Amino acid sequence: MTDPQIPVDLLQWGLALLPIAVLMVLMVALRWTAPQAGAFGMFAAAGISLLAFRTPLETLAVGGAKGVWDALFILYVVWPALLLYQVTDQAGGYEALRRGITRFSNNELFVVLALGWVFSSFLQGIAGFGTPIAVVAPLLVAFGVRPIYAVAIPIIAHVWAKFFGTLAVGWLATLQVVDLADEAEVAFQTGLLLIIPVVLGGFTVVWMYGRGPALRHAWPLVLIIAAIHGGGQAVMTLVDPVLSTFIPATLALLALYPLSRWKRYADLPDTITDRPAMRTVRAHGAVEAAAPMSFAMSFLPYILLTGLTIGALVIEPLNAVLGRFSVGLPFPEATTGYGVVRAAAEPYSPIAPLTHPGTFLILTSVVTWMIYRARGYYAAQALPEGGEAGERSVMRALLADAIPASVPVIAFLAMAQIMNHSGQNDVLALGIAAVAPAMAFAFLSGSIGALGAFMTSSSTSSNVLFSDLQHSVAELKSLPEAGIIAAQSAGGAIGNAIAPANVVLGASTAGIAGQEGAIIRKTLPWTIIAVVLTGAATVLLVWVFP
Amino acid sequence: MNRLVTLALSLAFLLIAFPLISIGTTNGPPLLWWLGLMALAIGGILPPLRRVFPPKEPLPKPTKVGLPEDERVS
Repeated sequence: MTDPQIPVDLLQWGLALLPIAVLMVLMVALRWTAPQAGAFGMFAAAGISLLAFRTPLETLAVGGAKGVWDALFILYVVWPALLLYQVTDQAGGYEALRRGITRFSNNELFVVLALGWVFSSFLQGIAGFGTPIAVVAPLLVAFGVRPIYAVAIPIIAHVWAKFFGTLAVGWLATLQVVDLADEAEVAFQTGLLLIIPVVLGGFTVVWMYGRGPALRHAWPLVLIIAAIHGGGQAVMTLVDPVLSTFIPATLALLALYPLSRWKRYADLPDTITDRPAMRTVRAHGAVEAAAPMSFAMSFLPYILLTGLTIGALVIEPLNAVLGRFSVGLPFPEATTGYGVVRAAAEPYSPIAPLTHPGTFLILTSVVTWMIYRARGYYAAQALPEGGEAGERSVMRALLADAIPASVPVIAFLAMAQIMNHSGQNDVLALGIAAVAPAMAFAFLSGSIGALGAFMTSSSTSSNVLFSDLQHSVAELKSLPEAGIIAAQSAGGAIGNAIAPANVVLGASTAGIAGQEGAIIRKTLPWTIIAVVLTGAATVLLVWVFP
Repeated sequence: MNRLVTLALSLAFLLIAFPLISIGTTNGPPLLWWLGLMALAIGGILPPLRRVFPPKEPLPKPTKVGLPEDERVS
């Protein structure tokens, strides 16, 4: 993968880190918008590749083009998710949903946890590729959650399901790139480490909602759901890693009904007065005008989406037939003057559109639009002064939201691939490995996974980039492969909480494009804490299971 | 130039770069990947350029999800 010619020293390491630092400073400190910061980061990575990593222009072009292709996997969720949002919203669906959810439970915190944590995790179990963020963020906004929190909550709460979610696509990709001696042990230890983001995610959502009083009210609920999510996932890795997220995420969804009947959670206690995540003043029994549609009808898109996704992914023969059709373009071998080589691909990372969540979102949008149109919801929502409703309005709004969201996603992933093809990623990981003693490397291995996820917005891509490298360093330092690959995988899941493409996706669907830096400021502290705890747990793992 | 038009142009340039570079670096004439690299560069430079040449148009209207009423947005 990497030729020893590539220098791994402090200067080179600092240069390799520079594009990421530039991106963070532009977005978080200087508050540039995502399209501006992402594009600038892409140029920073390209400039450093040319000047300090001996990268030929052809290799830069190949890396950049692969990044564009990688982005299409995400954009194929972004555009259909925004379409579904507009189709639902312009029929009055979110308003009806908000009212329906309010009736389902009088406990606002229970609903926020149910949607932001349990439902987003369930969606990650089956769909992934950002679907939980794209679907749940507007639901939370409709419920009255402030847009910044409406994005931050599902991002933080669903990352535990990233690695074994989407029917374990991250796990299966890892098996492709690393030759593991004991797969079951790696899967189990990954499941153990992922309990950290489960517990931390649940408590953080509660903290965001109502600080200390909310924690005192909701801790039993969080522990029960965390036991189902985290404990269930760890145990299921021993049975079948492919279903290890899907089954506990579904069980937690089912558990919501008996939990909602628990007297403790019938109402929100009056002790919770500070609700920073919420926009509205709490209404006690306020009477509202009639909803635009029934609650069942407003929930129709999510039932359709779940049914379609489960049907296509879990029914094995159907999945095999649908997965047969795939598209992709070839790329030649790419090299640098330092001997970094990226193999030729024929085709590169082909996409199977019929099993991709984007297709399920499009089908859901079309069926929903037909039903809502037939029932006259768009006509009823048309503005009295002759405003438009229906397909023209939906398409106009879709373009206004989706185009600004698409540019930064492409720029981030092109930047990631340019860094990968120039060897900057290798220098970053090898630099950490070179200076860190064995136990320090064990502590930091999760942060390498998180770095990969930050750059690619995907735990799967993080593992494809770094698993082999982590495995090699673990051997050099006589560390157990299970603990180190588990740390890489858990870190790769956690790093998604600050991944710019995820944040852009959430900001777009919550209607706050341009506020990506504000969202990262909410998720960054959580990510740092989760990575540090994962590092500490990894040290414990490699000490207990040497 | 309108913000949405700028970003739409940027998106178009970035997307067209992918097939041009793939074909140009494998079976096609090298000119194609040079064109693809230029498309990537043009698509990438357009969004930051808006900081150098700030638009005269007013900022986009807040969406109905309530950005202006969200005083804790930062």
